[in-house]
Amino acid sequence: MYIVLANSLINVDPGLIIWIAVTLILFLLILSKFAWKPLLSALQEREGRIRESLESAEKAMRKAEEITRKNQDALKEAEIRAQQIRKEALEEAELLRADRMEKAKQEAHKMIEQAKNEIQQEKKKALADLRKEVTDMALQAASIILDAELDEKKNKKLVDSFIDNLPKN
Amino acid sequence: MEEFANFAHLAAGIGAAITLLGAGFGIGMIGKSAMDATARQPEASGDIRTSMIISAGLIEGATFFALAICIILAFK
Amino acid sequence: MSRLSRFLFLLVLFTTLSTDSVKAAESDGKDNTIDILDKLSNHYYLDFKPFAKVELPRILWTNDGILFFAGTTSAINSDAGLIDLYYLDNEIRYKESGLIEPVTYKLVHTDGRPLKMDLSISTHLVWMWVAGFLTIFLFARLNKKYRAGIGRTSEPKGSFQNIFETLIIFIRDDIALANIGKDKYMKFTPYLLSVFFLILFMNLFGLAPWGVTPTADVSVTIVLALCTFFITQFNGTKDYWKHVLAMPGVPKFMLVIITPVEILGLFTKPFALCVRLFANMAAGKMLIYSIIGLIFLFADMFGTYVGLGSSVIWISFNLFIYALKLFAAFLQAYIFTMFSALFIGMAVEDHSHHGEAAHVIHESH
Repeated sequence: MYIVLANSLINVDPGLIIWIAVTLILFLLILSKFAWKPLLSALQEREGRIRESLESAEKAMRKAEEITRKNQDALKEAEIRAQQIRKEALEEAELLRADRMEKAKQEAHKMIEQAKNEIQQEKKKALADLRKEVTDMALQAASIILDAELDEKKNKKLVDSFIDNLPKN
Repeated sequence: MEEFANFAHLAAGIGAAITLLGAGFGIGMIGKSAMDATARQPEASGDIRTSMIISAGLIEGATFFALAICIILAFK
Repeated sequence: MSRLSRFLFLLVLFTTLSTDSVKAAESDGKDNTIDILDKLSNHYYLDFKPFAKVELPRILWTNDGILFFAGTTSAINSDAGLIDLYYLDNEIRYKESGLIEPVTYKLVHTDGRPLKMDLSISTHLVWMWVAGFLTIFLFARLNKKYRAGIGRTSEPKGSFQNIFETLIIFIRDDIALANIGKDKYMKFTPYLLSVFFLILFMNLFGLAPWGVTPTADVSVTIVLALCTFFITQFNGTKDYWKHVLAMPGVPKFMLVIITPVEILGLFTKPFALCVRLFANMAAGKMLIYSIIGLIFLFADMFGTYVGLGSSVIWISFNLFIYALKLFAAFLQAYIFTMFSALFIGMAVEDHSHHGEAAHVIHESH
């Protein structure tokens, strides 16, 4: 009985092998044709789609990043430019102010000068007038006082010399 | 002849025991090395597990040759 | 010596249903015994103990040509000149009345000559068909879902689709892609997937009530291993054959030793593949029966009540072995697929741009 049992455990049954081989080949053919081919292709398709969408998402993100960076750059540039403009304007204003000041000063100066000149001329004129008046007055007075004692010519000469001896101014 | 058949049974048992000693030691060594390697490089644990199973399977294959001989002896 | 070895072998071979029947088994040798190896071996009937025993059709290639019978009983009782091996040994050829019951289910000609070939449908074949149909059914259903667009354009829905998709992607990426390489793996993925699920279901059937594990039969695993063997050899590149027949970079005189070893290696690889699967599945089942048998052994040695009391230990221990077997069912299916992929990968690999590294890998296996 032992021997019969031993055979049954590790004995190779050719009939069974033929059946199993036929079954296995049919099984493999049926399964790979009707199950795995469409199944694997479906999986691949889905994976492809996922990969594609991942890639496109990445691309979109990269694009958005690029845009953000560009925007930031532009903003920075604009700020720099604005600052520059402000600085320029300030400088110009300063320049203008200085110019105005200078001009005003010059004008003032000129006006003062003119006023001084005028005053000088007026003074001269006034002095001349005064001298003439004084001469006349002195002459009149002298003539009144001296009357005909002295002729006009002599008198005038006298007065002139008197006036000349007066200190100027 | 009957006497020798009994000795064959004994030989089968002893043979199986020695085979399992060797195989157990070998697989134990693989397990130890794999554990060490996993502890050192936890990020490579997947690869280590795969190669561990492969080498354990190869050892197992060799063991089965011996066990097949034992089975044949046992049924002599 | 004889007593000792008989006692040791009692553990594996003879376990009895009850204390009383041990003695009955000694004298009768048939009834009320659990014959572990008989449980593991192939039968020509489906055993649904204690409800029914369904005989499978017999297809026999005899000297008179190929004969078909609905069952073993009808084969014995027909006038085709066939007899059960048991009756031949016991010299009982004809019963007086009624049908002759088959005992060993092994048929021979009435004069004792063996049959040319026994092409009968057997238990392992039936369970393999069940596994095959289950696989085809499951993946046809899964396929329907994909065809409807679920999983093709959207994410997979439901546990059924998710579980199998995870397994499929695991086999495709971690087994096929990792071992064969990205150029050729799609060609072999269908084979690896089919073999994985077939072996997995065949392994798992052994855990079901009345189930039989076809992979615990050498004939089944031989065919599976041969399939891998032929796929490997037919897809071998020129480089692969060069490495087998004349390893480049090895001195001429060393080739005398290396080439036979390499050629032997071609055959030992599938042999190990076949024996590994068979031995693992057979050993698991044998272990479960042996541990159940310990109950009866204890009952026999120390009395019925000790046997009953200790059964708590054995059954809980058995539960552990059962869980281990469940794990082994997955592991062995994985290992078979993994090694198939590895061998195929080694054969289809292009060594040209790998250089010396490929030699090392090649020799290490």
